[in-house]
Amino acid sequence: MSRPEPQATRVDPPAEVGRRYADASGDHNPIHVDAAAARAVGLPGPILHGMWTLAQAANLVADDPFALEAIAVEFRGIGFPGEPVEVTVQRDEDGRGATFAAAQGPRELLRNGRAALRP
Amino acid sequence: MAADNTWVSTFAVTREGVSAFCAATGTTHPLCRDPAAARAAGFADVVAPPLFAAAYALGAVNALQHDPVAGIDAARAVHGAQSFRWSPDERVVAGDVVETTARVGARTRRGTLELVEILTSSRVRERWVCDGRWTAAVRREAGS
Repeated sequence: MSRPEPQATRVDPPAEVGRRYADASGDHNPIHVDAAAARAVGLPGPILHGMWTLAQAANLVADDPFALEAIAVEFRGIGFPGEPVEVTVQRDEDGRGATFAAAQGPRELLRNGRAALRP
Repeated sequence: MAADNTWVSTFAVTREGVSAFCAATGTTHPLCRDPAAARAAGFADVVAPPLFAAAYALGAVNALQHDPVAGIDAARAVHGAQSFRWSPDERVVAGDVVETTARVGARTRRGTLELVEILTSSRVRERWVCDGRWTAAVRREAGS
């Protein structure tokens, strides 16, 4: 049996994603919401929360979120709220897990993602 | 900080908080969004999605990172990696209070970075719900 094909899904960050995720998560680092604060640390503008991007991957690896047993990922490049994110998921043959990654064009956002799912 | 090098936070889970997190992350599961569906499934209120751990455990992580005793230069740190593991049978439900302890795990050098693991363990009413490993990648000062 061949391994299932990797599936790529485009996710468009919603308007005000930085403010909304900051308020919902309590992660109020101003680099995610304030252009001046982002520029002050050398960024071109506000950047996506890595945890928001991870939540997108989690939505896509598990049809039932409560089947998630564990998840692990490395954060790579920075993501920007005005650009689509492509999340790539490769499910295991046995349905017990998946590997995943996310990118914006050539920039990796998430790599070496791994999810374990309960049957 | 507690005497045993752990940092503690408590987080009150509310229906509004779960709803806002689901809206911000695009999580649509009915147990997370619909109180009636959650009650029909035997829960007192809406159930937090697993990634809500990023919210309820954050207080302990921030307390650790901002305490000089922990030895992490927050101004030089970025979030390098993350993992979570959840209880197979305990759910976090609106109305719960989640207590999280955080401690410093392994510190490893990789090139110009020091990778520092912050390890969290979260409980509701003394029952374990989630462990997290939050890896800070800290730029080392020249010569350190």
